[in-house]
Amino acid sequence: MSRTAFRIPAPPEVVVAPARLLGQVVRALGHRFPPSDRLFTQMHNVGNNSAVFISVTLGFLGLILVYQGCVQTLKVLPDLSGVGAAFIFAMVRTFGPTITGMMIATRVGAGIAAEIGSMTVTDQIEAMKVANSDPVSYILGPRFVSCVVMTPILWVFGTLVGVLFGYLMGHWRFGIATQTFLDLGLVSYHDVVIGFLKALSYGIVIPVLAADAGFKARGGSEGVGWATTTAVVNASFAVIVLDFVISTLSFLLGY
Amino acid sequence: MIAFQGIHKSFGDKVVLSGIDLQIRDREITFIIGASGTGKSVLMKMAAGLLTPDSGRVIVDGEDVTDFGEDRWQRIRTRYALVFQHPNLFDSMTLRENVALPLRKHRGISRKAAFFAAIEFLAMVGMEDKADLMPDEVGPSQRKRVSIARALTLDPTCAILDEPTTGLDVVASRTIDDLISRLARELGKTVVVVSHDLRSIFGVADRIIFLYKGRVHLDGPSQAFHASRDPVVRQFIGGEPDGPMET
Amino acid sequence: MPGRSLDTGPAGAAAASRRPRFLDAVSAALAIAVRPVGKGFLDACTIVGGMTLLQVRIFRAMIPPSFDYDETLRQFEKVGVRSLAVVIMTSLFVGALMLVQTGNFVRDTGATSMVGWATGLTVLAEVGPVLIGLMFSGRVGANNTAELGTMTITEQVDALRVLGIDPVRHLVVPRFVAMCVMLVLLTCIGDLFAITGAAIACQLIVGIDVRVFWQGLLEGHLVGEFVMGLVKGFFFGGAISIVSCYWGLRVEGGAEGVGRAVNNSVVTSAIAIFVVNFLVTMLWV
Repeated sequence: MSRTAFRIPAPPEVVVAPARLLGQVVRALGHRFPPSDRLFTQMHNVGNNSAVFISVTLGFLGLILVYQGCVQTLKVLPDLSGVGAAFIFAMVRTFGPTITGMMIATRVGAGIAAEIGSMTVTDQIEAMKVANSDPVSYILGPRFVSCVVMTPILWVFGTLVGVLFGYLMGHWRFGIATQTFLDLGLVSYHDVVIGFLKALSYGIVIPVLAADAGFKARGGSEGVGWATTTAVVNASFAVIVLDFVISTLSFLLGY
Repeated sequence: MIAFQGIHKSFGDKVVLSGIDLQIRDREITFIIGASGTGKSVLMKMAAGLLTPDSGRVIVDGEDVTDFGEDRWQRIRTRYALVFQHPNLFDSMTLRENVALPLRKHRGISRKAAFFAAIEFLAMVGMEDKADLMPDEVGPSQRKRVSIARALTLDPTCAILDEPTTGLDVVASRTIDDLISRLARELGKTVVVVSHDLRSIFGVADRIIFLYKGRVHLDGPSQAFHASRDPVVRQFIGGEPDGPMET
Repeated sequence: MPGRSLDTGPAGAAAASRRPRFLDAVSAALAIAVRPVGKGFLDACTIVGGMTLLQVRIFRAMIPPSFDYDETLRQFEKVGVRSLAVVIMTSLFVGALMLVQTGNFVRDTGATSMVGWATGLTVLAEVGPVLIGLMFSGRVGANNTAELGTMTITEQVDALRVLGIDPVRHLVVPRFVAMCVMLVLLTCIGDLFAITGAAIACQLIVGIDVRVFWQGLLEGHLVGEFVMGLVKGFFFGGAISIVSCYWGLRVEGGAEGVGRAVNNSVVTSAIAIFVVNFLVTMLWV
């Protein structure tokens, strides 16, 4: 076996460590599920506390996409009836899940990394290990579950808000009739499934990458700053890459 | 000359200073002492405009600076050398660059000339051979000495040193003491030192101000302090755990 | 404290104990429901006000220009080196992603000539600048907040003030200048790589000849959109630098405080990016 010329290169540490952490947290969750009070606190933090942030960002995104869509369409033809359907299609399938995912990576990912990072540099994680309680299951467990559950919910919420604001722009600025704009003709069952899959995968990846950065924090406030920055960049980039991978696969499979 | 008149300051519910009245006279070495948390550092930060009192006035060279904005404080602050308790060197610069920065900013001299001048100030605290190291490559006591050198670059009239010898070994502490007395005796500067170090207090102080419970408890030359019959002062000098002093 | 006026909720409810119980319950419920909204609003006002003040101080330091040139040069280098790789990788994927998305349409309608124009438009005008801005805020903005936050809690900022050096002139303005200029350049580079990514995806994934893509792109006359993207980069850079410096300079309370500040910084930057994006497009198109 060792004589074969071709060897699969070892995957980089950025992928291996989070993957190992993912395995750990899934095993820990199977072993002992976090108690509901701590779970709900985290869900509230991930979900409810992100709602305003996601409304603002997705709202502005909806406004601008419809505005650009209408202006560019008007350059070619005077008929705006197709804009709504195309916009809703793009929101459900791409912009809804991906921008929501990036916002969660930014808010929740940075939050998890900051929390775990401060615990790491103040030796609280070490103290937990000494006290024989598993930091991965105790700290990451509830956060992981809440992210996995709340990201798809926020995807639905964000997409609805984006479509609502897009509709307001289309209706008032460009006078598109309500029925014409809110046309679900282009959205098929597949698109909803793909949007959901994207959101779910982001929900799995974001907390793991953020926690990985947090556990690696070293040395005081600089370490915490480093962990938070790393979490945001890695999680956001992972969202873009996952979006690309899922989109490409679905395109190649013809859905 | 720095004067404090009726200074009150609290952080949240915690009252730190309750009516401080004192004057710091020019060309004297004044030690401000007291138990931890009696607001010695707070008082020194007020003298430099980093904190504002809840009530009372701060007067510097006859000018009431209490309500000065950041811009006007900039002008006042160049008269001070304020050395913080924790050495706060700029950690992205070498020791030489740290000392050269105020020279470049205020003297309008070239980078090269400032670097050259910086060596002299580093030599004053015996750090000239480590000029090109980064702050985290030297020990805490050496960082402290460099921060003293940096504070002295602008030829201040008054040096405020917050616990300059805390955390230093005995030899290094005596070097700092020599520096303190040289500043006052040879260079004619006003020196204010916040300290716990009894040896340096009785070695070099002209005047000692003892803060207790947010007020000035005792104010006088070091002989008066030594001779004091006050039970709180006796306990502080003796360093006994039991006594009338509340901590 | 303006927030105190809201605290009359429970006190008012207690004082009105002679009124029917039902009204008490309603006013208590209102107090619980309304207070977070009011508090959130007041917090937002404080933050926006603080950032505006910082903006004013930056402009005052720039006219006439009196800020640290060495530090500015150092920031240029730092900002560029830190973010170039992230921006290139992001752009490649974003370009490819947008092309695959357009591919769905093209497959349904058969309008292959649309591919170049549609991808170019979304990438150059909207999605490219926004995603590059978001990654830039995560990389450079967050790092900047952490750095200034550490300087604040280790009293290095106070050390500057004590030496009679204005922290805004010495620390904030160089970062402001560097980020504004660098994000324009990075958007430029990013656009290039996004188009490259799109071209690769066009040939390899969607299976349309890359020449069709180029033709569509060139015939789309997207110079205006390209320039608008650069203008967005400029304003994003300004917004990110002000937001990140603001949060960095008001850090309190050790390592935890730095973590919280970085979190706040990236969230506020993201909001700023979407709002600025909206404003620039509305005023431009």
